[in-house]
Amino acid sequence: MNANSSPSTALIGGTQVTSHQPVTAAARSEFAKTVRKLARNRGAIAGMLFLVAIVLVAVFANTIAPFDPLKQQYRDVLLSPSRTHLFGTDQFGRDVFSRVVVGSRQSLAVAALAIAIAASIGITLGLVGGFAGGWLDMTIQRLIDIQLAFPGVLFALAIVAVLGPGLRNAMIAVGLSLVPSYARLVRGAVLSTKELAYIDAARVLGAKDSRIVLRHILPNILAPIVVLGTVSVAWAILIGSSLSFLGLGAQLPSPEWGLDLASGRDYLREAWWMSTFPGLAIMLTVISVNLLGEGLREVLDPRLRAR
Amino acid sequence: MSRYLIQRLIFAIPVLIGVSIAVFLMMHLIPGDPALALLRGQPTVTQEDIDRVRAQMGLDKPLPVQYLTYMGNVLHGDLGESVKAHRPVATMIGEQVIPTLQLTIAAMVVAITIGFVLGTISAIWQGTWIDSLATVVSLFGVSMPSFWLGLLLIYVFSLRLGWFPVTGSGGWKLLVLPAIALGADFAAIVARLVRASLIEVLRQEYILTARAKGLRETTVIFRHALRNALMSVITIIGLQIGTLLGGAVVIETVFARQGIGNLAITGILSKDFPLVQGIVLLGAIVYVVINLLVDVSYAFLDPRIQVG
Repeated sequence: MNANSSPSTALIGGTQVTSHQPVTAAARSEFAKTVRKLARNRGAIAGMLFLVAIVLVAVFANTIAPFDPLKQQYRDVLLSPSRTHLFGTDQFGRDVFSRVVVGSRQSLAVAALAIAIAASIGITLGLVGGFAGGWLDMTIQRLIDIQLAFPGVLFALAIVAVLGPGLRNAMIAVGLSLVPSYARLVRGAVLSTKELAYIDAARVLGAKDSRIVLRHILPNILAPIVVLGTVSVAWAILIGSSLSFLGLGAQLPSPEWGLDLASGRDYLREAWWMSTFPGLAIMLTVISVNLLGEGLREVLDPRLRAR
Repeated sequence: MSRYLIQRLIFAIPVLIGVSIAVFLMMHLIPGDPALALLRGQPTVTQEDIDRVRAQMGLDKPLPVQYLTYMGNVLHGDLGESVKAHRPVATMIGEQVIPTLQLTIAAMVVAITIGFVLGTISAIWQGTWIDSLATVVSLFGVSMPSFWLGLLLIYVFSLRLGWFPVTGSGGWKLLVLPAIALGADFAAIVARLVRASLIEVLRQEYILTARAKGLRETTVIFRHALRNALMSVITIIGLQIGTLLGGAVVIETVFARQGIGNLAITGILSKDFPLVQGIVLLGAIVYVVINLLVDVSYAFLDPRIQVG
C-alpha cells in the first residue's frame, strides 16, 4: 500500500500542525475526509458525545453534585430515588447522584493514567524492539510472553499484591497489564513500515535512527495506536472498577463507581438504587468507548477499509 | 505434526521458567523487608524475630540459591506455608479447586451455547431488526461489568422471583447465575465470531450445492455451515479461559462463593504473600498448559496447520 495515501498519514497531517513540516492541502483534505466518514457513523458519534458529557461532568463535578458526596445524613438513610435525591441515598444518607457524579473523576482518572502508563512503556518497547531487532527485540518479546502467561486480571492482582491496595497502585497495575498489547501492536507496525522505500530514503539522506523512528515511523503507525488507545480505555475502566469493587483500588469513603457498587451489594434487598446507578455509569461509559472505538477502527484501519 | 508438537512444547518451557522467576521475585519486589512485612501486625517486633523469619524463609542466602530452593520445593508440590492460616498453601488451594473449576466450566458452556444461538440467529436474519437486536445484546455483553450483571441477576432472579438461591446449598441451581454473569462477555464474543464466520461460509459454493440438492435450510446450517464456525471459536477458547479464570475472582466475590479467586482476594487483603504467590504461580501454569492443549488440539482438527 502507498503509505502516503493511508489515512494515518492524513490524520497526522491534520494534527501535526505545530511541526516544521508544512501541512499539505492534500493531507488536510484527507483528514477532513476521515472526520466526515467518522461523522456518518451514528454509533461512534453517540459514543463520542456521551464521553464528552462524562468528561465535562468529571471536570465540573463539584458544581453539578447537589450534595457533598461524603456528607452523612442519618435522617435520610436509604431513601429511594426522589426529586431531592435523584438516585436515592445510601446507608449513611449520602446522596447517590452526587457520589456517581464525583465518582466519575476517580474512574476516569484510573483509565487515563493507566493508558498513559501502558502507552508510554508499550510504544517505547515496541519501537525499540521492532526497529533494533536482534537480541534486544528477542529479550523484550520473551518478557512479554512471560507477562502474557498470567491470565486476565491475574497480572493486575499480582501487582496490587506487591504494591498494596489503593487507587494509585490500581492505576499502575491496570497500566502495566495493558503494556503487552501496545508493545506487540507497535512492534508489528514498525516491522511492516521499516522496509518501506521512504525509510531507506531518509537513511540515505543521513537521518539518525532516533529521528527515523520518531519522525518517520511513529507518525505512520499512529492510526492503529489511536484505535487501540480507545478500545483499551474500555478495558481499563472495567478492570479498574473491578479492582475497586474487590477492595483493592479506591478506598472508602471516597466515591468511586466500582467501590460504591460493592457497598450497594450489601443493601441489594433494601436499596436497589445504590448499586444500579454506579453500574449504569460504568456500563454506559464502556459502551460509548466501544462504539467510538469501533467507528474509529472502521475509518482508520486500512485493512478493514479494503474489504 | 510431531515436530509441531515438540516445537510448541519447547516454546512453553522457557515461558514457564520465566513465570516461576517472576513469581519468585514478587516477594522481593515488595517495598521494604519481606520479613518485616510478614511480621507486620505483631505488637512488638524484635531483631530476633526478624532474624528468625529471615532464616525461616531462607532470606539470608544469595538470591539464586533462594530461587533454586523455591523451585525445588514447588516441583515437590510444596508452595510454602500461609502466614495467616499456618497451613500448607498447596492444601489450601487444593481445597478450592473444584468450585472454581465448576464455575469456569459452567460459564464456558453458557457462553458457547448463548453465543452460538445468538450468532446463528443474526447470521440467518442478517441485516434485519433481529440482527440489529442481537448486535445490541452483544454490545451490552462486552460492556457490562460482570460484577454489576451478577448483582442484577441476584436482584431479579433470587430476591424478586426467588427462582435461584443466593447462597447456601442448592447444587446446580447455585451455579446458574454466577455462570451467566461470568460467561456473558465470552458469549458476546462467540456470537460475533459465529455471525461473521457463518455469513462468510453461507456465501460459499458448497452451501449453494447443498441447497440446490434440496436440503432443508436447517440441515444446511447445522450440518454444513456451523461446523466451520466451530473452528474459529476453538481458536479463541484458549485465550478466553484466561479471562474466565481471572473473572472468576470477581464473580466469586459477588456471589460470596468458595473458590480460588476468593482465596486470592483474602490473601491480598491480609498480606498473606506465600498464599498469593502460590495462586499466581498455579494460575499462570494452568493457563500456559491449557493454551498448549488448545493449540495441539487445533493442530489435530485442522490438517492445514504445519510447523510454521
